[in-house]
This record gives sequence, C-alpha cells and structure tokens, in this order.
Amino acid sequence: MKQSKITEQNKTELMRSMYPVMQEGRESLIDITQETNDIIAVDCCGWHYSQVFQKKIIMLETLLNAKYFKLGLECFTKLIDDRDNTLVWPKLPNISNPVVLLDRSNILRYCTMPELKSVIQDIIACYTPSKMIIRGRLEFMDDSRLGDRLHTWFDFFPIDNYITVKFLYDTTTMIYSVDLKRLS
Amino acid sequence: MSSPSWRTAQLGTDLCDQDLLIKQLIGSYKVRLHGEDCGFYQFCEIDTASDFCLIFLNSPMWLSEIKKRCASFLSYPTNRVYIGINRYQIKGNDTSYCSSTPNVAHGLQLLDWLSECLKELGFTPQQQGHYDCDRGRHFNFVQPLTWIYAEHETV
Repeated sequence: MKQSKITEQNKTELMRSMYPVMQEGRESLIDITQETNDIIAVDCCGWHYSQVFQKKIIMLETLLNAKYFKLGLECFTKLIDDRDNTLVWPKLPNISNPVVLLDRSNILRYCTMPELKSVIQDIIACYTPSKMIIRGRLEFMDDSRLGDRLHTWFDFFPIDNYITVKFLYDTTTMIYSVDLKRLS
Repeated sequence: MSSPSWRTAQLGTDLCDQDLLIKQLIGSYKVRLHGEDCGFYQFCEIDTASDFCLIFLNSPMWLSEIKKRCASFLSYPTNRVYIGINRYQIKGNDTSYCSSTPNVAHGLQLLDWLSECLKELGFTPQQQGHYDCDRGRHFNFVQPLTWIYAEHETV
C-alpha cells in the first residue's frame, strides 16, 4: 500500500491535519497554567503550547517529523529518534520531576493498548515525571470495535509507582484523557 | 486561499491503490455513490439510478448506524455493492452481535459482521480486503481500507 509523499505543496496541510493542536486556542488546549514544574511536551507542538501559555516548555518532536516537515530549531528542544519503528528518547539531564504532556501526540496513533502502555512506561523510565497528562482520540486506538472498547483500558492500569488521578472515556467527543501522578 | 481537499493534499492528481481497485471492480458500470466521498466521484461515471452502489463510510459511527445506513442505501434496486469502511472511525459495537474474536484488533471480524448483514439483505459477498497492518502511521488514506464487494443473489 502506497504511502502519501510529503511535498513542499502539501506539508502544511498534512501537518495541520496530523496536529490539530497547532491551530487551537487556549480553551481547547490542556490547561497548564497551574503547573509549576518543568513541562515536557511530547510530539504535540510544544512551541504552540509555549506561545499560547507564555511558558518555557521542553519540546520533544520526532526526528522524522522534523525531517519531513522541515521543523525549525525554534520548534523543538530535542528530538525523539523514531527511525526503525522504535522510539529512542533523548536525555534531559538537568530536568527533574517534570510534568509530561501528550496531547493527541502522533506517536500514540494506531497504538494497541499494550503499545500505548509501553510508550508511557518508557517515558516514565526516562524522565521519572511527577505527573503525566495524556489526551488522545479514541478513533486512533488500535483495538477491536466489536467488543466493549472500555475493557481494553483494563490492560492499561495499573502503572507502577503512579496513581490515576483522572480517567475520561467519552464516545461522544471521541476523546480519552488520563492523568497519572507519581507516588511520593 | 482555501485549503486543498484531503485527497488533493495527499495524492495531488494521482489515484491511490484502493482507488485503482475500486475502478477495476466498477469496470464500465455507472455508479450510485453514498457516504463520505473524498473526491472519488471525479473518477467514475455517476448515475443516481445505477444498480451499482458505492458506499464509503468514513465518519465516526456506531455499528448499528453502519447497518442502518447500508440497509437504507441498498433499499434502492441494487445488483452490485462496494462498501469501504474506515475501521478506525467505528465508535464501537452497540448491537447484540457477538464476534468470535471480540478482543482482536483487525478488519476480519468487521468483514464477518458485514458479510452477515449483506446476506440478510440478499447479497453474496464476492471479494473483500483489509489493510490494518499499514496503520496509517502518518496519514489516513483517502479511501477507507476495510472493504467488501458483493452481488445480489439475483445477478
């Protein structure tokens, strides 16, 4: 099956489609005004969050996106190496207890529940965040549509060393949202 | 300046593999088109009275809605039908249908269900396919990738 090619002509349109976050205002983005720790935005247009909330944000984008969409240096702090279908997370040596934000991040698209859990666990292993805020679209969960889809979430919990402080599963807006807090 | 359509953004003037497959199935027939078309109408001859029905389902919907929509579209005289479904757009199963593999994520179980629905409506499935392994890492294609082609039992 042929993949679409990213060209100069279509890259803006494709990026807008892949990352609706980049066109949204404060009211649609996740409210990060109350967060006092460093914020790491993972594959979710951290530059846009930074502009909208006037906050310094550590922006992690994927290497392939940076390459294909020709992201400027102002769009990322470090790159996640996503060549070879695996994610290699960059080291952030001076960051401790960050808040990790994943807002409809493309690295979560088409993940099965075990894959989603594995990505979250890898992020935890790398950055030991004090909190994780995850929001995604139910359309892009790679689960069976012929069973009760909520049941697949039972495989996601628990996450070692973290407690779930928010879980939203809404088939009207097609949004899921999970906030995790590290045990102290 | 208005944005280009999703089809144009992805393909320009090219046809994707699934477009070519549908064109091959259509042959020289005129078609009746229903559902969420992403510009394929430009590449086939449309006739609202045709007995060859193309259905593209590519918006969020429950299983019961799919069944209802197909039954409604096929209530017009139809001899041949092609249904393409974007599996990722299915919200879930709100019917009493029980899949024999309820926890497996792929299009085969959807095609089993769709075959049953079509048989109830008097159609015999002839060909089907799914490309779940592609998973559209970067983009969805313009055509839904779980598909079935069926002919009415009177054909």
